[in-house]
Amino acid sequence: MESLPADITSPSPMVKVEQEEEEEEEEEEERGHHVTYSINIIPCDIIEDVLSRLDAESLMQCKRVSKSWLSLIRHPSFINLHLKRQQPCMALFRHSGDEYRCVLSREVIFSFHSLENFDELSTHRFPTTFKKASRSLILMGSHNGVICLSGQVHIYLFNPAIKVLRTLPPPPPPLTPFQWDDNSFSQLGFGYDSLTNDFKVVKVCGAYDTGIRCGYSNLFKRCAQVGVYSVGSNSWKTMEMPNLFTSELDSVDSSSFDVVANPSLTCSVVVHNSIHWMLRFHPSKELNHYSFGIVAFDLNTDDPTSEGTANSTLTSE
Amino acid sequence: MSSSSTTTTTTRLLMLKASDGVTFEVEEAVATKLGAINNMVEEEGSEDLICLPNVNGKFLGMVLEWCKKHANNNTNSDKGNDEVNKWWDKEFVMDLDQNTLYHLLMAADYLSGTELVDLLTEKVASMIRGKKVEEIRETFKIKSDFLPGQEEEIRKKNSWAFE
Repeated sequence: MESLPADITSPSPMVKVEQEEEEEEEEEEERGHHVTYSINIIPCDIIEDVLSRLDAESLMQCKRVSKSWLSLIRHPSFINLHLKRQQPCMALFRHSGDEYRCVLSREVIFSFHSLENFDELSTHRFPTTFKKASRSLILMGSHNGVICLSGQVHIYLFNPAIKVLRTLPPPPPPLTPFQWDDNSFSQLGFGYDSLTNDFKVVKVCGAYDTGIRCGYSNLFKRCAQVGVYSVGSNSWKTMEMPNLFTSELDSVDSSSFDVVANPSLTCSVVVHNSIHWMLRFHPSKELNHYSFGIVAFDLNTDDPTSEGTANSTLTSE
Repeated sequence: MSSSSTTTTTTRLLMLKASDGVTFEVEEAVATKLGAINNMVEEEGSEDLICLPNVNGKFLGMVLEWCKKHANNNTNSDKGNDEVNKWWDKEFVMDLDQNTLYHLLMAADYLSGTELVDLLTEKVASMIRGKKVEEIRETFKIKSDFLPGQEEEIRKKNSWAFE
Protein backbone atom coordinates (compact mmCIF):
# COMPACT_ATOMS: atom_id res chain seq x y z
CA MET A 1 0.00 0.00 0.00
CA GLU A 2 1.35 3.31 -0.86
CA SER A 3 0.14 6.79 -1.00
CA LEU A 4 1.97 9.15 -3.14
CA PRO A 5 2.46 12.59 -1.76
CA ALA A 6 0.00 14.70 -3.58
CA ASP A 7 1.13 18.20 -3.99
CA ILE A 8 -1.59 20.74 -3.62
CA THR A 9 0.80 23.59 -4.04
CA SER A 10 0.67 23.05 -7.76
CA PRO A 11 3.36 22.13 -10.18
CA SER A 12 4.13 25.36 -11.93
CA PRO A 13 3.55 25.02 -15.63
CA MET A 14 7.00 25.20 -17.14
CA VAL A 15 7.91 26.76 -20.40
CA LYS A 16 8.71 23.54 -22.14
CA VAL A 17 10.13 24.94 -25.36
CA GLU A 18 12.84 26.88 -23.59
CA GLN A 19 13.81 23.89 -21.54
CA GLU A 20 14.23 21.63 -24.48
CA GLU A 21 16.54 24.09 -26.14
CA GLU A 22 18.62 24.37 -23.03
CA GLU A 23 18.91 20.65 -22.84
CA GLU A 24 20.13 20.31 -26.39
CA GLU A 25 22.88 22.79 -25.73
CA GLU A 26 23.96 20.89 -22.65
CA GLU A 27 24.04 17.70 -24.59
CA GLU A 28 26.30 19.08 -27.28
CA GLU A 29 28.64 20.39 -24.68
CA GLU A 30 28.76 17.05 -22.98
CA ARG A 31 29.56 15.16 -26.16
CA GLY A 32 32.32 17.58 -26.95
CA HIS A 33 34.05 16.91 -23.66
CA HIS A 34 33.46 13.15 -23.70
CA VAL A 35 32.12 13.29 -20.20
CA THR A 36 30.88 10.05 -18.69
CA TYR A 37 29.55 11.08 -15.33
CA SER A 38 26.07 10.51 -14.06
CA ILE A 39 23.91 11.70 -11.24
CA ASN A 40 24.35 8.21 -9.78
CA ILE A 41 27.59 9.31 -8.10
CA ILE A 42 25.51 11.35 -5.67
CA PRO A 43 24.60 9.53 -2.46
CA CYS A 44 21.03 8.45 -1.96
CA ASP A 45 20.16 10.92 0.81
CA ILE A 46 21.07 13.87 -1.40
CA ILE A 47 18.96 12.48 -4.27
CA GLU A 48 16.13 12.20 -1.76
CA ASP A 49 16.61 15.86 -0.86
CA VAL A 50 16.52 16.84 -4.55
CA LEU A 51 13.40 14.83 -5.37
CA SER A 52 11.52 16.05 -2.30
CA ARG A 53 11.64 19.54 -3.79
CA LEU A 54 9.63 18.49 -6.84
CA ASP A 55 5.94 18.86 -7.52
CA ALA A 56 3.71 15.78 -7.75
CA GLU A 57 3.58 15.82 -11.53
CA SER A 58 7.35 15.76 -11.90
CA LEU A 59 7.57 12.99 -9.32
CA MET A 60 5.23 10.88 -11.44
CA GLN A 61 7.83 11.09 -14.20
CA CYS A 62 10.72 10.44 -11.80
CA LYS A 63 9.15 7.19 -10.61
CA ARG A 64 9.66 5.76 -14.08
CA VAL A 65 13.30 6.83 -14.41
CA SER A 66 14.90 3.84 -12.69
CA LYS A 67 14.30 1.17 -10.08
CA SER A 68 16.32 2.98 -7.46
CA TRP A 69 14.42 6.24 -7.93
CA LEU A 70 11.16 4.34 -7.81
CA SER A 71 11.93 2.63 -4.52
CA LEU A 72 13.22 5.89 -3.09
CA ILE A 73 10.04 7.79 -4.00
CA ARG A 74 7.83 5.01 -2.66
CA HIS A 75 9.56 4.91 0.70
CA PRO A 76 7.46 6.24 3.59
CA SER A 77 10.32 8.43 4.82
CA PHE A 78 10.41 10.14 1.42
CA ILE A 79 6.66 10.64 1.39
CA ASN A 80 6.88 12.34 4.78
CA LEU A 81 9.80 14.49 3.71
CA HIS A 82 7.94 15.54 0.57
CA LEU A 83 4.79 16.42 2.49
CA LYS A 84 6.78 18.51 4.95
CA ARG A 85 8.15 20.58 2.09
CA GLN A 86 4.70 21.53 0.80
CA GLN A 87 3.30 24.92 1.61
CA PRO A 88 -0.25 24.79 2.92
CA CYS A 89 -2.59 26.70 0.67
CA MET A 90 -6.23 27.52 0.25
CA ALA A 91 -8.50 26.10 -2.45
CA LEU A 92 -11.44 27.98 -3.91
CA PHE A 93 -13.75 26.76 -6.58
CA ARG A 94 -16.30 28.48 -8.72
CA HIS A 95 -18.28 28.04 -11.88
CA SER A 96 -16.91 29.79 -14.87
CA GLY A 97 -19.35 32.07 -16.63
CA ASP A 98 -21.15 35.32 -16.22
CA GLU A 99 -22.83 35.47 -12.84
CA TYR A 100 -24.59 38.77 -13.48
CA ARG A 101 -26.52 37.38 -16.36
CA CYS A 102 -27.14 34.17 -14.50
CA VAL A 103 -25.34 32.27 -17.18
CA LEU A 104 -23.27 29.82 -15.26
CA SER A 105 -21.41 27.35 -17.35
CA ARG A 106 -21.20 23.77 -16.33
CA GLU A 107 -17.49 24.02 -15.82
CA VAL A 108 -15.97 24.21 -12.38
CA ILE A 109 -12.65 25.97 -11.87
CA PHE A 110 -10.41 25.43 -8.86
CA SER A 111 -7.85 27.97 -7.81
CA PHE A 112 -5.18 27.65 -5.16
CA HIS A 113 -4.01 30.57 -3.12
CA SER A 114 -1.06 31.22 -0.88
CA LEU A 115 -2.02 31.46 2.78
CA GLU A 116 0.44 34.30 3.26
CA ASN A 117 -0.84 36.83 0.76
CA PHE A 118 -3.71 35.03 -0.99
CA ASP A 119 -1.90 35.25 -4.31
CA GLU A 120 -3.22 32.80 -6.82
CA LEU A 121 -0.74 29.96 -7.24
CA SER A 122 -2.52 27.94 -9.89
CA THR A 123 -5.87 27.17 -11.41
CA HIS A 124 -7.27 23.83 -12.49
CA ARG A 125 -10.36 22.87 -14.38
CA PHE A 126 -12.46 20.15 -12.83
CA PRO A 127 -12.35 17.34 -15.41
CA THR A 128 -16.10 16.75 -15.51
CA THR A 129 -18.93 19.06 -16.48
CA PHE A 130 -22.41 18.95 -15.03
CA LYS A 131 -25.86 19.05 -16.49
CA LYS A 132 -26.95 21.76 -14.12
CA ALA A 133 -24.55 24.40 -12.97
CA SER A 134 -26.29 24.99 -9.69
CA ARG A 135 -25.81 22.68 -6.76
CA SER A 136 -23.22 20.77 -8.65
CA LEU A 137 -20.46 20.31 -6.11
CA ILE A 138 -20.04 20.50 -2.38
CA LEU A 139 -16.60 20.46 -0.80
CA MET A 140 -16.47 17.72 1.81
CA GLY A 141 -12.90 18.01 2.94
CA SER A 142 -9.32 17.77 1.80
CA HIS A 143 -6.15 16.07 2.88
CA ASN A 144 -2.61 16.17 1.51
CA GLY A 145 -3.77 17.74 -1.71
CA VAL A 146 -6.67 15.37 -2.33
CA ILE A 147 -10.08 17.00 -2.33
CA CYS A 148 -13.33 15.19 -1.61
CA LEU A 149 -16.35 16.60 -3.42
CA SER A 150 -19.94 15.56 -3.37
CA GLY A 151 -21.97 16.04 -6.51
CA GLN A 152 -25.63 15.46 -6.96
CA VAL A 153 -25.06 11.94 -8.17
CA HIS A 154 -21.50 10.99 -7.45
CA ILE A 155 -18.81 11.45 -4.87
CA TYR A 156 -15.43 12.47 -6.26
CA LEU A 157 -11.86 12.48 -5.08
CA PHE A 158 -9.83 15.01 -7.01
CA ASN A 159 -6.10 15.60 -7.03
CA PRO A 160 -5.62 18.83 -9.01
CA ALA A 161 -1.82 18.74 -8.92
CA ILE A 162 -1.69 15.64 -11.08
CA LYS A 163 -5.07 16.30 -12.73
CA VAL A 164 -6.55 13.04 -11.59
CA LEU A 165 -10.19 12.48 -10.74
CA ARG A 166 -11.64 9.37 -9.20
CA THR A 167 -15.39 8.89 -9.24
CA LEU A 168 -16.35 6.66 -6.36
CA PRO A 169 -18.45 3.59 -7.04
CA PRO A 170 -22.04 4.09 -5.89
CA PRO A 171 -22.53 3.38 -2.19
CA PRO A 172 -24.41 0.17 -1.40
CA PRO A 173 -28.19 0.37 -1.11
CA PRO A 174 -29.59 0.73 2.40
CA LEU A 175 -29.79 -2.28 4.67
CA THR A 176 -33.50 -2.01 5.11
CA PRO A 177 -35.88 -2.88 2.32
CA PHE A 178 -37.69 0.46 2.54
CA GLN A 179 -37.27 3.13 0.07
CA TRP A 180 -34.27 5.29 0.54
CA ASP A 181 -33.93 8.83 -0.59
CA ASP A 182 -30.93 10.12 -2.51
CA ASN A 183 -27.74 11.82 -1.37
CA SER A 184 -29.50 14.70 0.27
CA PHE A 185 -30.21 12.43 3.20
CA SER A 186 -26.64 11.69 3.99
CA GLN A 187 -23.71 13.18 5.79
CA LEU A 188 -20.22 12.72 4.42
CA GLY A 189 -16.80 12.78 5.98
CA PHE A 190 -13.39 12.48 4.39
CA GLY A 191 -10.19 11.55 6.13
CA TYR A 192 -6.82 9.90 5.90
CA ASP A 193 -5.83 6.89 7.95
CA SER A 194 -2.16 7.45 8.69
CA LEU A 195 -1.72 3.92 10.03
CA THR A 196 -2.63 2.21 6.77
CA ASN A 197 -1.85 5.15 4.44
CA ASP A 198 -5.37 5.03 3.11
CA PHE A 199 -7.95 7.68 2.32
CA LYS A 200 -11.49 7.00 3.50
CA VAL A 201 -14.87 8.47 2.76
CA VAL A 202 -17.55 7.88 5.37
CA LYS A 203 -21.20 8.25 4.49
CA VAL A 204 -23.89 8.20 7.12
CA CYS A 205 -27.35 7.87 5.68
CA GLY A 206 -30.83 7.68 7.03
CA ALA A 207 -32.54 4.33 7.25
CA TYR A 208 -35.69 2.96 8.77
CA ASP A 209 -35.98 1.46 12.17
CA THR A 210 -39.07 -0.70 12.64
CA GLY A 211 -41.13 1.63 10.60
CA ILE A 212 -39.91 4.82 12.23
CA ARG A 213 -38.06 6.87 9.79
CA CYS A 214 -34.62 8.20 10.63
CA GLY A 215 -34.50 10.88 7.99
CA TYR A 216 -32.41 13.92 7.39
CA SER A 217 -32.56 15.04 10.96
CA ASN A 218 -31.71 11.72 12.50
CA LEU A 219 -28.62 10.54 10.75
CA PHE A 220 -26.47 9.62 13.69
CA LYS A 221 -28.92 7.40 15.48
CA ARG A 222 -28.98 3.68 15.88
CA CYS A 223 -29.92 1.91 12.65
CA ALA A 224 -28.57 4.67 10.48
CA GLN A 225 -26.35 3.14 7.88
CA VAL A 226 -22.64 3.85 7.85
CA GLY A 227 -20.82 3.29 4.58
CA VAL A 228 -17.05 3.33 4.55
CA TYR A 229 -15.18 3.66 1.28
CA SER A 230 -11.44 3.18 1.22
CA VAL A 231 -9.24 4.17 -1.68
CA GLY A 232 -7.04 1.12 -1.09
CA SER A 233 -9.88 -1.31 -1.72
CA ASN A 234 -11.87 0.98 -4.06
CA SER A 235 -15.06 -0.36 -2.51
CA TRP A 236 -17.63 0.35 0.16
CA LYS A 237 -18.43 -1.63 3.24
CA THR A 238 -21.45 -0.95 5.34
CA MET A 239 -22.42 -1.29 8.95
CA GLU A 240 -25.09 -0.13 11.27
CA MET A 241 -24.70 2.88 13.50
CA PRO A 242 -24.51 1.67 17.10
CA ASN A 243 -26.63 3.33 19.73
CA LEU A 244 -24.38 6.15 20.83
CA PHE A 245 -26.61 7.95 23.24
CA THR A 246 -27.74 5.42 25.79
CA SER A 247 -25.39 6.41 28.58
CA GLU A 248 -26.22 10.06 28.14
CA LEU A 249 -29.91 9.62 28.48
CA ASP A 250 -30.75 6.54 30.49
CA SER A 251 -34.24 7.58 31.24
CA VAL A 252 -35.24 8.41 27.68
CA ASP A 253 -35.74 5.90 24.96
CA SER A 254 -33.02 7.01 22.62
CA SER A 255 -34.82 5.94 19.52
CA SER A 256 -37.45 8.54 20.16
CA PHE A 257 -35.42 11.72 20.19
CA ASP A 258 -34.05 13.78 17.35
CA VAL A 259 -30.37 13.94 16.49
CA VAL A 260 -29.49 16.75 14.14
CA ALA A 261 -26.15 17.31 12.54
CA ASN A 262 -25.47 20.91 13.39
CA PRO A 263 -26.49 22.81 10.28
CA SER A 264 -23.80 25.42 10.70
CA LEU A 265 -21.12 22.76 10.89
CA THR A 266 -22.16 20.26 8.28
CA CYS A 267 -18.57 19.88 7.22
CA SER A 268 -16.72 17.31 9.25
CA VAL A 269 -13.40 17.98 10.92
CA VAL A 270 -10.54 15.48 11.06
CA VAL A 271 -8.49 15.46 14.24
CA HIS A 272 -6.28 12.67 15.61
CA ASN A 273 -7.11 10.14 12.92
CA SER A 274 -10.86 10.55 13.48
CA ILE A 275 -13.60 12.33 11.57
CA HIS A 276 -15.75 14.48 13.85
CA TRP A 277 -19.26 15.76 13.30
CA MET A 278 -20.94 18.18 15.59
CA LEU A 279 -24.57 17.51 16.32
CA ARG A 280 -27.46 18.66 18.38
CA PHE A 281 -30.09 16.49 19.92
CA HIS A 282 -33.41 16.90 21.58
CA PRO A 283 -33.83 14.42 24.39
CA SER A 284 -37.34 15.51 25.10
CA LYS A 285 -40.26 16.66 23.06
CA GLU A 286 -39.71 20.25 24.11
CA LEU A 287 -38.11 21.98 21.19
CA ASN A 288 -36.15 24.50 23.23
CA HIS A 289 -34.43 21.82 25.26
CA TYR A 290 -31.42 20.38 23.54
CA SER A 291 -27.81 19.29 23.94
CA PHE A 292 -24.75 19.45 21.75
CA GLY A 293 -22.56 16.49 21.11
CA ILE A 294 -19.75 15.29 18.93
CA VAL A 295 -19.63 12.01 17.11
CA ALA A 296 -16.23 10.71 16.12
CA PHE A 297 -15.42 8.09 13.56
CA ASP A 298 -12.07 6.37 14.06
CA LEU A 299 -10.49 6.07 10.62
CA ASN A 300 -8.31 3.16 11.62
CA THR A 301 -10.80 0.95 13.42
CA ASP A 302 -13.87 2.19 11.51
CA ASP A 303 -15.59 2.74 14.82
CA PRO A 304 -18.13 5.45 15.45
CA THR A 305 -18.13 6.69 19.04
CA SER A 306 -19.83 9.43 20.93
CA GLU A 307 -17.35 11.96 22.21
CA GLY A 308 -19.84 12.94 24.83
CA THR A 309 -21.92 15.99 25.01
CA ALA A 310 -19.86 19.12 25.01
CA ASN A 311 -22.48 21.32 26.62
CA SER A 312 -25.01 19.40 28.56
CA THR A 313 -28.31 21.16 28.26
CA LEU A 314 -29.19 24.55 27.01
CA THR A 315 -32.61 25.73 27.89
CA SER A 316 -34.28 28.94 27.15
CA GLU A 317 -37.53 30.46 28.27
CA MET B 1 31.15 37.10 16.36
CA SER B 2 31.60 40.66 17.57
CA SER B 3 34.48 42.27 19.43
CA SER B 4 33.30 41.13 22.85
CA SER B 5 36.12 38.55 23.07
CA THR B 6 39.82 39.26 23.42
CA THR B 7 41.75 40.90 20.59
CA THR B 8 43.65 37.75 19.57
CA THR B 9 40.49 36.05 18.26
CA THR B 10 39.20 38.84 16.06
CA THR B 11 40.66 37.63 12.77
CA ARG B 12 41.94 34.19 13.52
CA LEU B 13 43.05 32.32 10.42
CA LEU B 14 42.53 28.62 9.84
CA MET B 15 44.43 26.40 7.45
CA LEU B 16 42.26 23.94 5.57
CA LYS B 17 44.00 21.09 3.79
CA ALA B 18 42.19 19.30 0.97
CA SER B 19 42.61 15.64 -0.02
CA ASP B 20 45.10 16.52 -2.75
CA GLY B 21 47.26 18.54 -0.37
CA VAL B 22 46.09 21.98 -1.51
CA THR B 23 45.77 24.30 1.47
CA PHE B 24 43.58 27.34 2.00
CA GLU B 25 44.03 30.06 4.57
CA VAL B 26 40.64 31.27 5.64
CA GLU B 27 39.26 33.54 8.32
CA GLU B 28 37.60 31.59 11.07
CA ALA B 29 34.34 33.51 10.65
CA VAL B 30 34.19 32.38 7.03
CA ALA B 31 35.15 28.73 7.55
CA THR B 32 32.76 28.24 10.45
CA LYS B 33 29.84 28.88 8.13
CA LEU B 34 30.44 25.22 7.39
CA GLY B 35 28.90 23.12 10.17
CA ALA B 36 31.59 20.44 10.01
CA ILE B 37 34.41 22.96 10.44
CA ASN B 38 32.54 24.80 13.14
CA ASN B 39 32.30 21.53 15.10
CA MET B 40 35.99 20.79 14.65
CA VAL B 41 36.93 24.27 15.84
CA GLU B 42 34.69 24.00 18.87
CA GLU B 43 35.87 20.51 19.77
CA GLU B 44 39.57 20.80 19.11
CA GLY B 45 39.90 24.48 19.83
CA SER B 46 43.55 25.38 19.38
CA GLU B 47 44.21 23.37 16.22
CA ASP B 48 44.85 25.71 13.29
CA LEU B 49 45.37 23.12 10.56
CA ILE B 50 42.29 21.17 9.57
CA CYS B 51 42.62 18.21 7.21
CA LEU B 52 39.67 17.40 4.97
CA PRO B 53 40.48 14.06 3.32
CA ASN B 54 37.12 13.80 1.51
CA VAL B 55 37.24 17.00 -0.52
CA ASN B 56 39.71 17.90 -3.22
CA GLY B 57 41.19 21.34 -3.64
CA LYS B 58 39.08 22.42 -6.60
CA PHE B 59 35.77 21.93 -4.86
CA LEU B 60 36.94 23.03 -1.42
CA GLY B 61 38.05 26.25 -3.09
CA MET B 62 34.62 26.76 -4.59
CA VAL B 63 32.84 26.03 -1.33
CA LEU B 64 35.05 28.53 0.47
CA GLU B 65 34.49 31.13 -2.24
CA TRP B 66 30.77 30.82 -1.59
CA CYS B 67 31.27 31.07 2.20
CA LYS B 68 33.46 34.14 1.82
CA LYS B 69 30.90 35.90 -0.33
CA HIS B 70 28.11 35.18 2.09
CA ALA B 71 30.17 36.08 5.16
CA ASN B 72 31.13 39.43 3.60
CA ASN B 73 27.63 40.23 2.52
CA ASN B 74 26.30 39.46 5.95
CA THR B 75 28.74 41.76 7.78
CA ASN B 76 27.64 44.74 5.74
CA SER B 77 24.41 45.49 7.49
CA ASP B 78 22.73 46.61 4.30
CA LYS B 79 19.05 45.98 3.91
CA GLY B 80 19.51 44.69 0.37
CA ASN B 81 21.76 41.89 1.59
CA ASP B 82 19.29 39.15 0.95
CA GLU B 83 18.86 40.42 -2.57
CA VAL B 84 22.61 40.58 -3.10
CA ASN B 85 23.05 37.05 -1.80
CA LYS B 86 20.28 35.76 -4.00
CA TRP B 87 21.67 37.44 -7.05
CA TRP B 88 25.13 36.15 -6.31
CA ASP B 89 23.84 32.62 -5.65
CA LYS B 90 22.11 32.65 -9.00
CA GLU B 91 25.33 33.59 -10.74
CA PHE B 92 27.22 30.99 -8.75
CA VAL B 93 25.09 28.04 -9.92
CA MET B 94 24.27 29.31 -13.39
CA ASP B 95 27.15 27.96 -15.40
CA LEU B 96 28.09 24.91 -13.38
CA ASP B 97 28.52 21.81 -15.51
CA GLN B 98 26.96 18.68 -14.11
CA ASN B 99 30.23 17.12 -13.00
CA THR B 100 31.17 20.20 -10.97
CA LEU B 101 27.65 20.53 -9.65
CA TYR B 102 27.60 16.97 -8.28
CA HIS B 103 31.05 17.14 -6.71
CA LEU B 104 30.37 20.54 -5.25
CA LEU B 105 27.13 19.25 -3.81
CA MET B 106 28.88 16.30 -2.21
CA ALA B 107 31.60 18.58 -0.84
CA ALA B 108 29.01 20.97 0.61
CA ASP B 109 27.14 18.04 2.12
CA TYR B 110 30.31 16.60 3.67
CA LEU B 111 31.21 19.98 5.13
CA SER B 112 27.62 20.53 6.36
CA GLY B 113 27.22 23.78 4.49
CA THR B 114 23.46 23.65 4.83
CA GLU B 115 22.62 26.78 2.85
CA LEU B 116 24.91 25.82 0.01
CA VAL B 117 23.45 22.28 -0.08
CA ASP B 118 20.00 23.88 -0.33
CA LEU B 119 21.12 26.06 -3.19
CA LEU B 120 22.67 23.19 -5.14
CA THR B 121 19.91 20.60 -4.55
CA GLU B 122 17.42 23.21 -5.69
CA LYS B 123 19.52 23.69 -8.83
CA VAL B 124 19.41 19.94 -9.56
CA ALA B 125 15.66 19.87 -8.86
CA SER B 126 15.16 22.70 -11.34
CA MET B 127 16.83 20.52 -13.98
CA ILE B 128 14.17 17.83 -13.41
CA ARG B 129 11.05 19.94 -13.00
CA GLY B 130 8.57 19.74 -15.87
CA LYS B 131 10.56 17.16 -17.84
CA LYS B 132 9.38 13.84 -19.18
CA VAL B 133 10.96 10.55 -18.13
CA GLU B 134 13.05 10.24 -21.26
CA GLU B 135 14.29 13.81 -20.91
CA ILE B 136 15.24 13.24 -17.28
CA ARG B 137 17.17 10.08 -18.17
CA GLU B 138 18.99 11.88 -20.92
CA THR B 139 19.83 14.93 -18.84
CA PHE B 140 21.24 12.86 -16.00
CA LYS B 141 22.71 9.96 -18.00
CA ILE B 142 20.57 7.38 -16.26
CA LYS B 143 19.88 4.07 -17.95
CA SER B 144 16.48 2.53 -17.33
CA ASP B 145 16.87 -0.77 -15.48
CA PHE B 146 13.19 -1.70 -15.74
CA LEU B 147 12.21 -4.88 -17.52
CA PRO B 148 10.06 -4.38 -20.59
CA GLY B 149 6.51 -3.73 -19.47
CA GLN B 150 7.43 -2.76 -15.90
CA GLU B 151 7.64 0.91 -16.69
CA GLU B 152 4.30 0.79 -18.48
CA GLU B 153 2.80 -0.79 -15.38
CA ILE B 154 4.02 2.08 -13.21
CA ARG B 155 2.66 4.56 -15.70
CA LYS B 156 -0.75 2.94 -15.48
CA LYS B 157 -0.68 2.90 -11.69
CA ASN B 158 0.34 6.53 -11.71
CA SER B 159 -2.97 7.40 -13.24
CA TRP B 160 -4.24 7.53 -9.73
CA ALA B 161 -2.13 8.89 -6.94
CA PHE B 162 -2.69 5.99 -4.60
CA GLU B 163 -1.71 2.41 -5.09
